[in-house]
Amino acid sequence: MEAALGFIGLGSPCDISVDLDAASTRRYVNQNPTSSTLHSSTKSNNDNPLLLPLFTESETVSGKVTVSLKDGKHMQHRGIKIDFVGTIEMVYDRENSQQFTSLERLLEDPGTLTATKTYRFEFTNVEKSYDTYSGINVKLRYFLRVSIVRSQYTQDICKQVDIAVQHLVDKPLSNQEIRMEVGIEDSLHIEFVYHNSKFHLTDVVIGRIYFMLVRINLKRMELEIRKRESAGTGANVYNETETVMKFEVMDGAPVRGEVIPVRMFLGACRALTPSYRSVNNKFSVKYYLNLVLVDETDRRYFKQSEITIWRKSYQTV
Amino acid sequence: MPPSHSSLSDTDEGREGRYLRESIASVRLHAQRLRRALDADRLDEAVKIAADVAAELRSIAAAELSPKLYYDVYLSVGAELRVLENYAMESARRGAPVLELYERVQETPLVLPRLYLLITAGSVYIKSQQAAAKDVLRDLVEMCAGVQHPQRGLFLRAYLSQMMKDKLPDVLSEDEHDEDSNDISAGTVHDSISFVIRNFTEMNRLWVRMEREASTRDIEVLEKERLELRILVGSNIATLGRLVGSNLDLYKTEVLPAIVEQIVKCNDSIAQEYLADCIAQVFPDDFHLQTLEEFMHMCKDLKKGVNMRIILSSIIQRLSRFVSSSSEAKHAAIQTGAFTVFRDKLPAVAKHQGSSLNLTDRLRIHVELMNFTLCSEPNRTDYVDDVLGFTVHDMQKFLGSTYDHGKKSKSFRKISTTYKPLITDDELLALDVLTKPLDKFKSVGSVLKLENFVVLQNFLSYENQKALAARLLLSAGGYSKCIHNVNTLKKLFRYVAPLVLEKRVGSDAEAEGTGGDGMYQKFDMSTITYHHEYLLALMPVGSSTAPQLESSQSLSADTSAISEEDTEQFEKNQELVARIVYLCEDENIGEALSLYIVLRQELIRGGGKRLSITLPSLMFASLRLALRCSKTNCDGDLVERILSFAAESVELLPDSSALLALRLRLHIAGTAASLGGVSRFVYDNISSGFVAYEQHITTSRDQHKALQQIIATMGFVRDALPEDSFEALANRAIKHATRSLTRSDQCVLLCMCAKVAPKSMKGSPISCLMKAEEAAECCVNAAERVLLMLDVASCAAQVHETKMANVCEGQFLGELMKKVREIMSSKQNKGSALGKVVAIRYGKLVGYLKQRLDVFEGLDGSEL
Amino acid sequence: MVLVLAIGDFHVPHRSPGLPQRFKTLLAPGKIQYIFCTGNLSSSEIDEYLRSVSPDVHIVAGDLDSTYYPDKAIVNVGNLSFGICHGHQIIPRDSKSANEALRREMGVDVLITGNSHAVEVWQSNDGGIFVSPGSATGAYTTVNHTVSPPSFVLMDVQGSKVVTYNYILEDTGLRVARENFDSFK
Repeated sequence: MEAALGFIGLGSPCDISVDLDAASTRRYVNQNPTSSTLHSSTKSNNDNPLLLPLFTESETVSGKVTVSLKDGKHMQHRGIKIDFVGTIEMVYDRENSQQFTSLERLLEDPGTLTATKTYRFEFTNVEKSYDTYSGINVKLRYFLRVSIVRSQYTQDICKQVDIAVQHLVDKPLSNQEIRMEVGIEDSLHIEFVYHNSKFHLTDVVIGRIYFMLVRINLKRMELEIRKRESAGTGANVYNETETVMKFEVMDGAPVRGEVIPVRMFLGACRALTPSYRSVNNKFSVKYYLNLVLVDETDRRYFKQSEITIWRKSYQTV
Repeated sequence: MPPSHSSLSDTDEGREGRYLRESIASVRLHAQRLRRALDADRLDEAVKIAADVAAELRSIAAAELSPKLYYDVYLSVGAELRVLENYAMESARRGAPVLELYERVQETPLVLPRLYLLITAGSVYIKSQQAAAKDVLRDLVEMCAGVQHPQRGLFLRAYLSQMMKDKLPDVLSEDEHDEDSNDISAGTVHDSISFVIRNFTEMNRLWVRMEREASTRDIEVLEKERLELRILVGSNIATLGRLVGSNLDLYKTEVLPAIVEQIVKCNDSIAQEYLADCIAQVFPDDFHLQTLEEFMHMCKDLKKGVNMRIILSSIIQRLSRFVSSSSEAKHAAIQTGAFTVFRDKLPAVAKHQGSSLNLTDRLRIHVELMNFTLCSEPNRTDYVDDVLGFTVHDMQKFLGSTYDHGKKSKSFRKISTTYKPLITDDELLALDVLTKPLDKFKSVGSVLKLENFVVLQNFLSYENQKALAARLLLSAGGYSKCIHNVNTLKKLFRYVAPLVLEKRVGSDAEAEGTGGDGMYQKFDMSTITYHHEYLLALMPVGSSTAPQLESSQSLSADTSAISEEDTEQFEKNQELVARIVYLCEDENIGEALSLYIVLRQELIRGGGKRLSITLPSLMFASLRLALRCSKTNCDGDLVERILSFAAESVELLPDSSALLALRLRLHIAGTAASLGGVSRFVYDNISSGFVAYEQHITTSRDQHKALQQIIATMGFVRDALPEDSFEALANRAIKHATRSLTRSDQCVLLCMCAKVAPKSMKGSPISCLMKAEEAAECCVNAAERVLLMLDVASCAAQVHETKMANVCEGQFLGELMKKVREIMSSKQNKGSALGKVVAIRYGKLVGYLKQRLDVFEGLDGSEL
Repeated sequence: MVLVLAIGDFHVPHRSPGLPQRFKTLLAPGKIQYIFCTGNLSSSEIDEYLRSVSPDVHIVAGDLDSTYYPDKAIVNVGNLSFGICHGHQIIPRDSKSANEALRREMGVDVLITGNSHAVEVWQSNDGGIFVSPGSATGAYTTVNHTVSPPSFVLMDVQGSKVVTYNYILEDTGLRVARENFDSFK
């Protein structure tokens, strides 16, 4: 797009590039994972990987900025600076967006740039309290922004570089099983057990479904992972629920006494994130295991149970 | 474009074929992608494509396929998965961890393809020895529960069995494991057995479940489909058979109880029938012997309506073949008491099945059981009788209409039952049950030990009763003496009653199982002495002793009754009855006679027509006793009693058998003559012969034969008779000979008379010869005349040589020869065929006479 | 070479339950060209049996047979003529000279007779051959108690020569006696 703008004469007179230290040895995160493995076979442009460098909670963010002029022209400016910003953006409610972190470093006092110039920068031990998150209504981003401030009537020249942040969590102290009896009187009665209620991102859901009474002709049974994202506060809360994983656990009609094993590898679901509870009072992400039984007339019977997802190790590419 | 909705041409078959083609085409298409991905070492992608391949087994098209066509899709999917397997195996050899693949495939979202891939990966996992076989087996068999659709589940589990078949540990304990090979202990045969049994159990449940899902489908089509699928289930039993090998203990404690439990629990007729049969077919015969009790116990618990016939026949047949194969096997059968297991358990099985196990099937089982008994313990007649007893029991149960248990205390006759007749098939089966012991024992004595034999025989039709009785008698090929007393003899006659009596046996009380004594008690013949018992057969007897004397009835009615029967078969059967006498012990002459008396009583009941076939053997046997008497110097009275018995026996023959009676009398006379001291019997029997000749022998041919035999007999009994008695008989013979119808008969008989007539009497040999010549000369036909004259001349020569008469004195012989020459020289006789015969005969006689001119004094040799 | 079987006096079932199994085995079908049966089969079963053994069967009537059979029969085999007669008609019984007379009367070279139940083969001074096959079942005779073993006579006829084989089934086993005869007519 920048190239196109340059062609009609409105392009910026210079290029800005940001090179983080040790970029080649850094781990990267794909911040644009396919939304769900169920649709893995239908590829679209949106699914192009977006690789971001991964930083930990208080890791120093440093590197260098290079401003290169085009065609050997001179450029006047009113100062060059770099910001480290953490934001929570409400996609459809920008007013409620919030910067929860912002640090600024001045790279160059106002003047004229006559040649390409490189600046070092460093945000030492900068605090990054939250995980990067990219949801439907809300995004939590960390980015570096280089700005060349221009004259009053000329738009500043900016360059943003996103980084990703992930936090690891210790293994939860208690991890109770989920056990529940559900049914429809006189026609269906099942009990399901999931051995755990808390899972790390590549964990395995293990359980069993006991059919104690079956008087309806079932066709299949699925286990879904449903993700519920709540963004905003007060009256402006946006709730989105999305099925991020569908996993068939049974094909055909069981009879009374049948026990169906469940073993679902969460790692298959690239869209999975940890559960988040009221991040900076702005948003929450919850996950549910939804057991769905489908009968031969395609009627669906389901029961969902909340689970907690935690991060045991970095999700990198 | 043809109308796609043309339902008329779109038959089920056509539609199915199209679905099959679609499915296979899809599989091929995915398979190409799979190979490309593997060639490029893109395993992740390959796994996804492999899932697509396997997913064809649950596509909409595949769901429409019958088991047979689905199997085609299954095969082509299996072949493609093998490509993935080989690739993974190759990677594993290079050290790649199989666990990754094992987990990766489990990310497949659809359960059916996921499990196909899991099994494929599991196979590699075990083969690579990166995991213990027992763990993988346990995991796989459990995970497969995810497919509950009967057809898809069955094939999935079939795939599991097939892939694991060569990976099942078969060592008995972990210690046996080769420690060098790997640290991981693969597991033992016990792990393998529990794996196979679990898989079998699940498959069977799925198979059984097909029935319940039949609501919308044609039951017949469904049952056909189920039968097509049964081999998938049964193959597990075959695998178990291989695992168990020759380890009986393993079979008895682990395998059989588990299979039996599943068979009983599944409560499905088709499955129970098929699987029970599988057990019978798969495991070694000696296992069946050792676990027969358990097997029969299972049979008792099978669903009502299961075809027990197939199951039981199958196992019994196998065991029969087995025990026939070696003496060790036979020994094992005896040691395990196999028959007693059947005997003790079968009633419970039959009772549980009730009327759903019909008579035909029961009979078939009894046929097999009979066969087994005879193969395994041929000496146990009591066992054979048990089988007959079962058959009788079932007959009564199924054919009885008015059996009243409650009235047992009342008169015996009141509870007697009338039975419905057997249908042909059942009757043949019942006949088979009865025939098998006959053919095996080949001994009447052994068969007579079977108390239930007659009771069962009574259910048969008259024709088959006769056939069976005949077969019994035929089976006594060697005719060893097996009847030592009267009771045994009477018993035998209960068995062969259908041949002796004119009607079917087995109405009323006899079928009750009382042994058929009822009818026999009516004839209390033992109180009547033998001297006049034959009279019983000839005249009506007072109601006090014989209210229903069937023998007398049939005597008068025999010809009409039998005319309908095949005469030839009738004769053959009666000849068999006639042979019963050879079964009777005759070591002690007196006791033998007592037996013969009873035997005759029994035979009398058959009536005249039968007697004429059955009696001669008995009569000859008695004559033989008499001859033996003379050798052993026994009581003279006994000899007379025997001869009386023989003579009375002849009296019993009907008038239609007069020639036979006469011939038998001549034998009695001959025997009496050779015994000496009983001339009364010689004279009486010959004179009775004359009476028969005069009264009952009507055709000239019979008369000629009869008289010929009388004269021949007289020829050797002369010395046993007082002169006057003999003369009287001789005169009578000459008189009858003279009165013969044809001249040639007269001539021949008179020649014979000439040889026996005493010199002294009026009708001396010479006068007989002269009469004979006279008769010959009266013949109109010249050739016959001259032949007869030559006969007379030959006879004269013999009489002369034996010095009974001098035929040269008075030129009788010379004159006769002259007359012969005259006739021969007359033109018309020369050259004809007869003329040549005459010439030869003449030449022979003349040649003989010329040689012996010294004997024939006065005969002019030159004239001859 | 022509094989001729002389056999008779079965008396089945009158005096014997049947032909010994050993004989049945010996008399395999298809080997014997002629059967000359001296009668007293008694049972039609024996008639059927004989006809199953050979295609050319000649049976004469014994004293206990039905009147169906002829009294005597003459059959030519090779250069010889055979006369068959049961023999109960012969007076005196079992007399050689009476047998010789019968042979003359019948005009045959070989005379086959039964009735005596004793197996015997002999030749008369004038060259006649006499064959008595005995009783095939070992039936006893009613006129004396000598029990003769089952027997028959097999004749191998070559031109005018006859080789006879007497088959006798004794308690100790089968005995075969061979004799050569040359008929000089």
